[in-house]
Amino acid sequence: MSWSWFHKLGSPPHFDDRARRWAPWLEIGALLLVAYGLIGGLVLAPPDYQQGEVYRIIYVHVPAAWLSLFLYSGMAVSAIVVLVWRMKLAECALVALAPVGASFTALALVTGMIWGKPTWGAYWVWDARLTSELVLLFLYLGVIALQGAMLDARKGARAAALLAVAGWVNVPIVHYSVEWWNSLHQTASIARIGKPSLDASMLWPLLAMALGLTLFSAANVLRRMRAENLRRNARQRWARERVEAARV
Amino acid sequence: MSAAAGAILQREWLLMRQRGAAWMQPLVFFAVVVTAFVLGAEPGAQWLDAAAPAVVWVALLLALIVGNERSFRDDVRSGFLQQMVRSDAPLALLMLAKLVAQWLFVALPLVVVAPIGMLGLGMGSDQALLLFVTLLLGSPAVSTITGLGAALTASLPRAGLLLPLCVLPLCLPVIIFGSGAVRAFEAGLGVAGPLYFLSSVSLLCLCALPFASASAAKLQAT
Repeated sequence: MSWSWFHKLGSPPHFDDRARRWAPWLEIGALLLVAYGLIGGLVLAPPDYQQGEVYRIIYVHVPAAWLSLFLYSGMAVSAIVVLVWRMKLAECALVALAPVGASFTALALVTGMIWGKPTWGAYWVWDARLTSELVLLFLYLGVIALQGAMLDARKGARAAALLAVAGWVNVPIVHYSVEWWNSLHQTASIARIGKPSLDASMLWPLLAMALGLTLFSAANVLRRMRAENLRRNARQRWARERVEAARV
Repeated sequence: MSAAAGAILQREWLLMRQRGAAWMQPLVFFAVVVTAFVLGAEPGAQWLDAAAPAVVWVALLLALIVGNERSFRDDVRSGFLQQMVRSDAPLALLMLAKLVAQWLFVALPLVVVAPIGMLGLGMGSDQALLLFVTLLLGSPAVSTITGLGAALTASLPRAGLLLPLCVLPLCLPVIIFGSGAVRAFEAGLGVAGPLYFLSSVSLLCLCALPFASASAAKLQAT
């Protein structure tokens, strides 16, 4: 089996080509899916029999929460590739994934707070899931800060990769320790809204939103990776030619 | 091989003696943080009793960050870190020696004086003893994690806020179980679980973080 396609993908000019061609398609897919998800979720789906209209925030909240974890795992995988194989493109991926993941984490927290006020009666409760999500945001911010603090981009990416891997090991530990902490002091347990299996009219828009926002993240990460890739290769001829020819 | 590790321990010891009273700085810092917490509460407040273990743990963590920040920075500046990277001995072993030295000379004095802070916070003797044990078991984890953070940020002109930002989220489980053990004891629950947890996290950190610190050191030395 020939691996040349794989090696090609690692070459900066080749990646630049691919990313330039793929990103718009991903964005079109994201736009269509998100449009369907929003219309289906906010207009067509019936209100929840217990929560009324408030529940509709899940169409943003659930995909954001899922992406916050998924993108962190992606970041950790690229961090391992950075540390083991020192692939330059993985460094670009790490740098590109961190802000996107941090944004979705913040979005999941904010939408959760907006939902929590009418449903739980408080913007914030120190529930295990909320707290782990908050710690995840801190981990993201640490990675972004460390990577930005180094003057040398490659060193910054490698330092951030070490921190990202350490954080990755830590995420499940944090989750279970917070759960233990929460079960230790017996506060009035929050009446969780029982989750009956979602009706199809609610489920399909949710899945469409999740997939649409995943495609959006992929496109956004590709564009960021491309920018980082061009910035790093600014002295190379191909990069200069491409930027000057305004094929950006 | 182990001679090199021993030499590093000895060097850290000599450096600490050379700096004179500087070894007391983290201790004073610890005392000030605890005092600030007490003075921020109303006298005899109930919640201070409940928060005492957490206050001690947070003060210890902050003091460790302050105390460990300097060591790798000085090594980068003096060129000793480059020498460690170039040396024949495995770098992870040298890093282990350095992390152990940090624990012995920064964390251990803090753990030893921490009971004074616990008494100041009005903790009962049983709780104070238990908290002391959790500090003893959990401090290697916290110390090595801050050591990794210090190694990662050693070559930056101003690590300042960056070090706590990187290190604090990683230390949260240790704080949860460290102060949680005392609350579990007060609630009449078993404390073996949290103590085992703290020990296992410390062992995990001692096994894994020398390697992570070694790659961080290589990063700073090139």
